[in-house]
Amino acid sequence: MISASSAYAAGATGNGILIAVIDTNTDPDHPDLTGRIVSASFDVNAATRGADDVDSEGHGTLVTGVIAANKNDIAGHGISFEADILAIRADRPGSCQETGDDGGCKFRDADLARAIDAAISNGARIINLSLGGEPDTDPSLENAIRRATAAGVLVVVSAGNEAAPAAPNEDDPSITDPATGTSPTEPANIAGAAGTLGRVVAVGSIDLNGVISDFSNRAGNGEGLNGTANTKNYYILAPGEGVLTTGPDDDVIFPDQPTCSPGQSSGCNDDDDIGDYYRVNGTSFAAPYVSGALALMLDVFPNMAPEDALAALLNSAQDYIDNNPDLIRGEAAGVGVDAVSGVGILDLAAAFAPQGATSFTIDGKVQSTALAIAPAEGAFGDWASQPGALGELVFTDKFNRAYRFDAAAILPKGEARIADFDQRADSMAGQAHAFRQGPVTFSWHQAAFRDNPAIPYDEAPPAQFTAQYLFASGGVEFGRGFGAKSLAPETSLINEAGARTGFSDGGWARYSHDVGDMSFEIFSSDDEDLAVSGIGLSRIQRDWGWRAQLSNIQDDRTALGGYVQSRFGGEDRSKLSAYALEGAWRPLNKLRLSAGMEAASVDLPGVDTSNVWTSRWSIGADTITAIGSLGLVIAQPRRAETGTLNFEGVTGLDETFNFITRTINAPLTPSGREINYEARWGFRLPGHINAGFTAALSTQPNHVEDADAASVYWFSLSKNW
Amino acid sequence: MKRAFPLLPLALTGACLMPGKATPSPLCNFSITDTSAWVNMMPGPGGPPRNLTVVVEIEDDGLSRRFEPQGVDESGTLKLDVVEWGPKEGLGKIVYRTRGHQPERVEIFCDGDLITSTDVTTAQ
Repeated sequence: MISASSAYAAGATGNGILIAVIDTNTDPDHPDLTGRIVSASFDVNAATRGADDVDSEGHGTLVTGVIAANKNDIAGHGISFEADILAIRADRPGSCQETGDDGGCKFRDADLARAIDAAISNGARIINLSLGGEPDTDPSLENAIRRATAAGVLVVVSAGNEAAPAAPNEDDPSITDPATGTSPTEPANIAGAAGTLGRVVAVGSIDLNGVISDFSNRAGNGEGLNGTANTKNYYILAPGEGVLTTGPDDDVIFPDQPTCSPGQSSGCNDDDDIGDYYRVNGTSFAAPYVSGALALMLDVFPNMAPEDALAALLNSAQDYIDNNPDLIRGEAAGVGVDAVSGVGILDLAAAFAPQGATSFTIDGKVQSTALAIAPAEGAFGDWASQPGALGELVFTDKFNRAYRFDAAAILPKGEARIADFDQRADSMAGQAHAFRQGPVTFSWHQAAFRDNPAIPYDEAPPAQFTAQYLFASGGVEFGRGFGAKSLAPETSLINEAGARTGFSDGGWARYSHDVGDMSFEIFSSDDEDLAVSGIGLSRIQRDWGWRAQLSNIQDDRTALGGYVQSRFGGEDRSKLSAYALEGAWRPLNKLRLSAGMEAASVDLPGVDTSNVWTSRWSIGADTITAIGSLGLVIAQPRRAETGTLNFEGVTGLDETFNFITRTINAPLTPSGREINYEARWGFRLPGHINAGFTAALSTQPNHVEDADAASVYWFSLSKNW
Repeated sequence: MKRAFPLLPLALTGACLMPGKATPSPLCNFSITDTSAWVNMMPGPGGPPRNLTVVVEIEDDGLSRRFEPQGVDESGTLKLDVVEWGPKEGLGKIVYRTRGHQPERVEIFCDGDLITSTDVTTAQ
């Protein structure tokens, strides 16, 4: 009901956390409390306590079991089943033996104050007070609680069971007695009061269905003696009905029942004299849920300030909303903190999850973890979620709690980079013109303009053109869009991240000069934030050709199509020195084979990297058959093959709970290898209609090994006029 | 001690006197949504208050009701009769509060008929 399993999954047991249970006597010999009660436990009234003065109801044992009953094969277990219990008995001697209307265990404020002081001096981190009564003017108990909070101790107090709706006066029904329990009893009403340092919490009860218990005192709005409206911000709900816990031997609770005969299981007592188990109700048993939860919190997050541990529970409570008027207060339990339910229901899963803004400390600077959460794309793919990368880091939440950054689970996979079909359709529907006059060739293409009424002043796509002038020993080419033709094949339906596409609108130029059979070239292109320049050497014959190129590529918008620097608060940029070789060959008249490969050394400005190299290749075949033209391309986009990213990061806590910083050499290589396959078939239909069918398959998109393959198909009909 | 059933409210409503009780009187013609009874036994500075509270939540039909105690029988069962009341606090719920009784069970009657019962729980 309180989602404790997530806390246990985080390793929380309460181990080493000392909780003082100030109550009636606790049975240290109960089989499920063995080892939990510390030897320093004592009775503040031991000097005047009679030997037979025991609480036959076993209230202290019942409360202790909810907190710390051992985790074993016997019945259930406590919330913090490895916590240490400092059991302090504080009931007035003889009061538990009293009978009649005024009988029952009573606590003097002075005894409780002594017990609290003893808890402080014994090093308790948490004090549980499952008791309460009408507020009075004696400040000794409240002052003792303030001393505890000043010493860094958290104090958990039952809100009380005094809730009752307005009712006719028992003696004179014409008089209406007002509702009771509209706010916590004393000392729970001190929660949120001045001087408690945010370290006191009042605990109300819910039933097994998560509904606030009829008997549970409400959060209140400052009503009553010593009340403060701030108490509702320190009032939380926890299970308080049908709670299974440890208790005294049944011979103590039911002394008049006979011992069970063989086969008898009800209306009788077992024949042993050891503690048993009971289902109980009341806010007395809701408070220890919160005490145990705090112990779990302090166990897993030892660097938390006590008030932060409590705030983590309060801030993460499940909001309790009931639009019907509350039985006791006559008002709804609305959204957020309210006077009926306070902050809501204890939710350990939410309490243990990071809260508020989360951040890393990288290279000495604090940065939001949100920056690191970018999809796997480009040549580095899912490097960030690979072992040895961001998963090495711990991050902190607003309470300075440290969490391992589960990069593999948190970081999203990228989408396969399918080409923009609208763009392709617009391009096909556009106008193309070309002319040649002697050594001059000029071609021009204007994609169709798809007017979108939702976008005012939408601009038409820029025209693309290519101009070429050939002279005796070479030529000059320049243009906008398309780019210079290459020998290596490329896929058309799968775009490469970080690379220009056939629809880019950047300008480019190439100058070539022939020297014998060889041709030397120099080229440059600039497409917004992607600039390429370089030199090449080629030899192009009728049936074969090859070209070698050395180029510098500067991408000022991405880290090779992905995210590296931006995950650390910087700007993604990349520079490459690429070495490429491409060639084509016609072994048969109607068959053309082509291939290209590239290796590149990479620099990522703004971060410390070493030995980053990428690869890129493609192979293709084209042929003309009786059924039309056929083509096949197999290509691997640019992929990081080696390289590390080096940075200082916080990776854990040391034995004294200080952050450990170490150098992380994160591999920049992705888990998978994206291979794209594209097949094309072009054929003619009657009426001079050109038909084209293209199918592409992208495996391990974005170089992510377990990414789903993506496929895409393109069918076109075109007619020139 | 058995107390006299208040006849005036019934006479005012009239319907309870219908032959054969084929139609319940407006007083008894209500739908129960929840029934609970508890004794507050939380220990504290003043000791357990031992307050008994009985609450029967009903659909609000605009009629104010209260309980009239009829005593505790030998088996520890507290018997309560539903009677009319005036204040708005008697709308949508019927409440009985007392101190001193610690019955094990509560039985609710209306117009002489047992309409519901519940065990008394202890809230510590």
